[in-house]
Amino acid sequence: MPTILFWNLNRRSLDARVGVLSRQVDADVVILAECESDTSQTLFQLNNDVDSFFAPDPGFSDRLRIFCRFPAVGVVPIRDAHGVSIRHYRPPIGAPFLMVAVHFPSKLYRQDSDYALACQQASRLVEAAEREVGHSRTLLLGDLNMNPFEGGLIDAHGFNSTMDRRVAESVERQVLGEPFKFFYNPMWGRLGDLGGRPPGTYFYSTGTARNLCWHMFDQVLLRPALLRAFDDDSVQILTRIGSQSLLDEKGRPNRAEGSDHLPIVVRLRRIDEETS
Amino acid sequence: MTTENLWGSLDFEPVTTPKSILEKQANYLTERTRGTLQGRVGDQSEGEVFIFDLDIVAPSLNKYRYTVLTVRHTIELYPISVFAEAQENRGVLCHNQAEFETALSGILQAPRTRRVISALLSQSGYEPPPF
Repeated sequence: MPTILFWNLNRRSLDARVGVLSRQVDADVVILAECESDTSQTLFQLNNDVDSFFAPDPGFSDRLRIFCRFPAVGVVPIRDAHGVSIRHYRPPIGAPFLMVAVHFPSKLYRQDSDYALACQQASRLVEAAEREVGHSRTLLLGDLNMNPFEGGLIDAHGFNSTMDRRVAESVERQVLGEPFKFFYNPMWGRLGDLGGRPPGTYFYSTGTARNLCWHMFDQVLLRPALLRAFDDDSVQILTRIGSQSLLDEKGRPNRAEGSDHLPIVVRLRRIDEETS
Repeated sequence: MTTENLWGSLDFEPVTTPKSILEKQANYLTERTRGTLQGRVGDQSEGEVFIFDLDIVAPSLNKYRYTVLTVRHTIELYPISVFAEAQENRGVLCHNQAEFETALSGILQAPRTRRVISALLSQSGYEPPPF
C-alpha cells in the first residue's frame, strides 16, 4: 500500500507538522515543495517515533525535497529536470512503479503558453522514463500551478489527462494519426465544496473579472496501468494535522500559521505486475 | 526568361548552431571525466520550435540523468531562451552567440552545477587522473 504525501510549504518552517502529518497518514514517500528547511531537520522530524526510517532522496532536485522509506535498493532516481523529478520505486510488496514529482513555477512569473510547454516537455520525460523502465505504472503528483481544466493538463501534447476513468482505461487516443497516452486525473472529482470538503488546495482571490478564488494546483494523475490500485477515495486533500485545523475561520488555508497550500495524500492498493 | 543568378551572393558566413555549442560542451564533460559522466544533448524539438536539453548522465548510477539547462529557439536560431535550475529556472534571452556562450558559461560554472557534478563523480567512484 504505497502512500505518498505532497505538500507545498510556502517557504515556511513546518518540519514538526510535516513529521506529524507523515505519521498521521503513514506515508512511505514525502514530497515537499518550497521547503527551505535543512534536510537533516526535516529528517529528524520524519523519523521521530517511527519503526522504519526515512532517507533523503539520492537525486538532485532543487524545487522538490523527497524523502522515502522504501528499502534503498528499491529507490532508483531516473531523472531531474526543471521541477520534474522521476523516481522508480519498488515497494516491499507489489510491483514497482514510477513516481513523477512536479513543481512548476508560480503563475506570478509565467504566461499560460509557458505552462503548456512545460507540460509538453514533462510529458516527454515521463514517456522516456516509461520506455526506460519498461512499464507505465506511473503516478504523477505535485504542485502543477494549473487547474485540472487548463490546456497543459488536457492537451494531447501535454499530460492528456481525463476526468473519466473509463476514458483513461482506453489507454490512449489518436490525434492526427499520432497516439497519446492518457492520464486519469481524479482531482476533477474534488473540485467544489460538496460534502463540506475544501473546494481546492490553494486560495487566491484577485480583483480581476474572472476570479476562481479556489484553485486545484496540487494534483495527482495516474496512468491507466495503475487504476486497479486506485480507489475513488485514494486521494485526499488534508485539512487537519492531528487536532489542529489547517484552515482559517473562513475555511481557507491558514497561511498565517501554516502554508498557503493544503497537503494531498494518495494511497495506492497493492500494485499488480499484470496491470502494466 | 533570364538564366542569370538572381540569388545574389550565396557565400554566407557559417553559423555555429546552439545545438552544436551544447554538443561541444557535452563532449568536454565526457572527455574530462573519462566517461564517468556523459554529457548528452537531448532533442525535444516540436514543429517550428527547436528545443535542446544539456544533460549529465551517470552510467554507473542506473543512467541517472540530470538536466543542466534547456534552450529553445526558432529556425532563425537567435534569440534563444535558456532555462536552468542553476538560475532558479528563470529564462534568459540571448540575442546572439556571444550572449549565449556567456550565459552557458555562467550556468556550467554555477555552484549548483558544480555540486551536482562533484556528487555524481563521487557516487560513481571516479578517481581523478594522477598529475
